[in-house]
Amino acid sequence: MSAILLVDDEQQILDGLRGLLRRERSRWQMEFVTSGAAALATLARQPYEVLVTDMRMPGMDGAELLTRVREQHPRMARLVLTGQASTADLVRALPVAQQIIAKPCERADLCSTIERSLSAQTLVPNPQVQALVGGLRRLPFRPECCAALSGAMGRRDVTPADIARIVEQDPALTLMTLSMANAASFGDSVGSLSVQVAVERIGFQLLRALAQSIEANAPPAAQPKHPPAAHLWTRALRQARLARQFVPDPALRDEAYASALLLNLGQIVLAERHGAEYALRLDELASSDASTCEFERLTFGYTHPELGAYLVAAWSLPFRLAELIAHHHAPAWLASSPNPLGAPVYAAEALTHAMESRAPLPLARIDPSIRELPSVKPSLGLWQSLAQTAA
Amino acid sequence: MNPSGLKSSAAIALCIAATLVIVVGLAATGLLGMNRFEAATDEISEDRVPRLVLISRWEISLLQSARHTRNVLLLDDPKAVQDELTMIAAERQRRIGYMLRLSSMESSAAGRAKLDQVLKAREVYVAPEDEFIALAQAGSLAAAKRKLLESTRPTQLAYVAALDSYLDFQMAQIADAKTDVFATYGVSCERIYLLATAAITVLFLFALWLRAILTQRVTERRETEQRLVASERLESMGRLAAGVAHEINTPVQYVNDSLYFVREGVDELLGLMKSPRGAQAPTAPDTNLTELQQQLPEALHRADEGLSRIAAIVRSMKEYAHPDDGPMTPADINHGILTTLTIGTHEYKYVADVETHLGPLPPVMCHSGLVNQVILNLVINAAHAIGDVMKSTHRRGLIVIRTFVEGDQAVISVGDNGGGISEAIRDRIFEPFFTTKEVGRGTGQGLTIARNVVVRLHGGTVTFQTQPGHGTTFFVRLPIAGKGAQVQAAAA
Repeated sequence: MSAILLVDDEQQILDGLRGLLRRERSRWQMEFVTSGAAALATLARQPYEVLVTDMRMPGMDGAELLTRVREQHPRMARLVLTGQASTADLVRALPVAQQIIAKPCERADLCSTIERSLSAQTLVPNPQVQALVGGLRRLPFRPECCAALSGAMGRRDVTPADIARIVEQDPALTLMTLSMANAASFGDSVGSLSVQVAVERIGFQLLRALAQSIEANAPPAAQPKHPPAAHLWTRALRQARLARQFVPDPALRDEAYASALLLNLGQIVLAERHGAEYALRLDELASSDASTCEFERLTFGYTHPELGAYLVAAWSLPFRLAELIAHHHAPAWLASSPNPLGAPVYAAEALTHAMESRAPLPLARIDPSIRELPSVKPSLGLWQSLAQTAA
Repeated sequence: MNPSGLKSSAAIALCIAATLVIVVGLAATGLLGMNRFEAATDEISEDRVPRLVLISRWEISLLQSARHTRNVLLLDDPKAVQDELTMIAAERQRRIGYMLRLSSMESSAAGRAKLDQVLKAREVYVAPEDEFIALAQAGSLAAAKRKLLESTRPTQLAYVAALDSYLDFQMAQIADAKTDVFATYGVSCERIYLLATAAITVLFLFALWLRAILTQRVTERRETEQRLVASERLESMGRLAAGVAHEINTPVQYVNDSLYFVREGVDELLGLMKSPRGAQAPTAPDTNLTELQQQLPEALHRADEGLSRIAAIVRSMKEYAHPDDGPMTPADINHGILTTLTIGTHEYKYVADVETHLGPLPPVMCHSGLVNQVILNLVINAAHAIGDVMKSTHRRGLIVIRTFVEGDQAVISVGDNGGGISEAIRDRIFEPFFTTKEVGRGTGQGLTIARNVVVRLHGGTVTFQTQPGHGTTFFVRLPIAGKGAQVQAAAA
């Protein structure tokens, strides 16, 4: 049974929530406390899976509580349920909260958000991954994209399309934007994975808050001239563009782009964490999918697909994307998955690698189980020539 | 400098440069034209006119000489005749001077030909005159007179005719020169007119351009100002709306939740009622009658309480946002303060308690909405001052609001036990955009607006007492009878 801790300074809110979630008592163990201090005390006694907290509270406020929980209990999912949406509050909440739900919210939205957090923990049960991702002080944003975003937000004539073009250059920014757009605050969580749609949905106030929160959390030291993840960002972009071209259905193209862009977010986190050495090692191992994951498992105890999948799921992106990322080195799983994007995204990654290493037979990089799929086989020639054109 | 500023300073530079070019061009053309004009007039005045004068004097001298000759004819006294003869000789000497000067001046062939004609006529005239003078001097006056009557008259006339012709020639020359002068003058005038027209056109265009740019700048500045004011108003409204939304969202959340629970609970109860009395198979496995019995009334009570809370907030909001476009109206300041405190609860409730000591106040003539905003701004400032101190002490602060009457003024004081205002910035707190608050917390307009509203619109005062480390109290004094009344009273 999952344990959920709800914090709000208004007893009335807590009583209301208790009544609202009464039927969930069979699957969730719920605790309701009225202050940050009480929440920390409760957490010290027993582990909880999910924290849902108000932002504005006397004494320790929501942002402070979330920050402490991030340090002390990084595996816990951190959700905010707030009636206050001032930019200043959002700037403080965005770096520490994985999902922000606006008051008043419907029972279904609250439950589904909690469920998504729990499903992330089910999908990637590795406690090390949960602790690492949950404890991240900062997502691995691309500095040049953040600078461009801040610049664009300062312009008066900026359009959502301008913002979308900047955001979709950076996997971490894309993750944040899609996550905010998929928040229950927007009522119908359609699970769209189009950056442009997401930017339009969340609006400039939230984007400004996002840009400000990233600025406020910028690493203090000057960025190295060649960030360890630099070539991973380039590769992510390359495979994302390729994936978009591989998908004939226009309705699925944006999702293909986002999926391929976020596919190796785990690697980017690892590269930022372990520096150039990891990136170097990755390049050596790039020849074989299995060996990369093997190397990671031996060195860290977890793999980048796990990391990426947990990141995406914890930040409330649709579960199908988290699954795809978790299994993107498991072609057999992808071949049997109902997600139509598994094969093209996998192929985009494989062909990008093949082009980078100038492999003589690029299509050989695609696992036979994918290659032989009836939906894939006729497109292989086209895909190869698209990849060659892009390279 | 902004682009339009750059544009306009470039325009000004261009305009000055163009004006300079035009002035220099005008001056040069004018000078050139004037030079030619001057040369032409000089030719007339220093060359033609002296010749004309000399010829005229020559002719006059000849006529004088003719007079003296006639006198000789009429006189018989040898002494008088002798005098006349001396005069005639003198006139001739004078004419010789003219002749020499003219022949030195005359350079053109035509002029010289005319002069030669005159000299020929003179030769013809001079010979009999010489004989006449010789006879007269010899004393044979009668013979001289005869000689004179015989010969001098026609030669004299021919001489005069030659001189006249020479004079005419000179006159014609002058007329030509005059035409030339006027032609030159006309051309240069035309040029000057053209240039001046061009210059004026260019300057006019520049002026138009400058005006357009300046208008644009002014419009831009006005727009910026309007935007600032509007955004300030919007921000304060937005801030308030966000705050009020928060205040409303909270009860809405639990009213909704409670009603959801009530619906579920009632469904379960109805299910139980439908099933056979005493049956042990409730519709929902976790239906707990005791729990429902206890919690359903609680939930209904909670929903009821939440709805009254929402109603109170909405009512306060309506009263707070009293439209202020009309004239001042008598308002209950104390009621306004209570309304404002309801609206602004979220601004202070996390950091401070509010104590109100509202004395009896007569209705005050004011724009009540604006006065409410001033009170809210002061309360927010007090809350922020306390919040800053609370970061280190973690102790809740106290905001004390008092109202009382002082003479013909209503006084509102808002005091806090925050950190006070440091000596260094006391003079600056009313300046627009002056703020010590971090970005996103204040625009630095609150006190400026407060002062504008109180001083300019209501003829009141805003003052403060502060003690660093102990807190600050702001005093707003409003004339009870309104601004106009006070002015009238002062006039009377």
